[in-house]
Amino acid sequence: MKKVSNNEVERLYRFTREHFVVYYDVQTELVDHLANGIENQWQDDPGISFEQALQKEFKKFGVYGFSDVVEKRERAMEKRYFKLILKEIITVLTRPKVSVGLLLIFLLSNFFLSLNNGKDAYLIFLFIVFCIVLIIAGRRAVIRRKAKEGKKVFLFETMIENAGGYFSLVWIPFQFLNFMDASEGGFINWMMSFLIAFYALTSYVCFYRLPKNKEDILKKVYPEMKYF
Amino acid sequence: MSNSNLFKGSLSTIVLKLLKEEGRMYGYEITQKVKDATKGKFKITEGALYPTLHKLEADGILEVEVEKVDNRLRKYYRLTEKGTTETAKKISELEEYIKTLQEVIFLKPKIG
Repeated sequence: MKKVSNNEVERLYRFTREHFVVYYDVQTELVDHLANGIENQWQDDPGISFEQALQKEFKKFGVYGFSDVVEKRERAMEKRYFKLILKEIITVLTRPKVSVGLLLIFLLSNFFLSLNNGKDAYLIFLFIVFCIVLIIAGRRAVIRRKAKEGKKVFLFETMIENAGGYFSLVWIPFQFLNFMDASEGGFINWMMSFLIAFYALTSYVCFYRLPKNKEDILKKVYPEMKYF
Repeated sequence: MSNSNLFKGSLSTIVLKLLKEEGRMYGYEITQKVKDATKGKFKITEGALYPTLHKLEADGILEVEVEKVDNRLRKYYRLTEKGTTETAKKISELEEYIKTLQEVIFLKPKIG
């Protein structure tokens, strides 16, 4: 039976990239699927060219092509990433150093927010949050460049580097400035101190713990990595 | 199958049942197996199969292993321990649903 050659496998990878599949793990699964389909067509009609068979196979993915597969894969991986964050948070919270540290952050935040210039203290926190935004933006740019250069970019790796959906949460503290203007101390200060402690905890997990253990996490998620 | 909506709802159960029987399978193999088993009446579209497999994997119901076959990598799916329990549950739910559906469709009006 006629088989897909090495060059044709390369062409299939290129084909998936041309159809906006950036992640190597998704590309690999699609390449095998397309190759199987093409070989199956060759069995019925050995005369059909590789390109013709490829187009026929691609049509089976419907009008949206690979985009639906990629989008749903991203959503599934997001879910997995958040489960991982939750697991890590529980793990680190059981460490006295972390839990005492968080309690200190919580109490100190409340102390500074209660001062007359409490809003200035909060602005310092917002500045830190803004720096986090810059870090995420920088990491995103690195991943984009890597993908552009044709290097292997894994979806879960991107999630770890981009800190998942953290980007959309990062703007919440800025909204709290309005609350500060509208109310005087008390409950709102406790709430904001809690928010600051929560940010400290999630940032520790998303920006330190997970990137530090990235290689081990990726090996578990992607068994195919043993072939690279 | 003319009405694909009827089929869509049971796609994950069909995939789980196949994996329970076969042990491990890859995406293309699943599409072909369903096509052959149903003599072409059921056709799993590629755009529906992979999102289903990826969701089941993210939920911890399936696990993956990758092997080099010919000149490319092939991703195999198999049931996890949680997946085996889930499969039995899903199959019994589907059986119950079919039974109820039959009762409704073949409902005989009461006379008198």
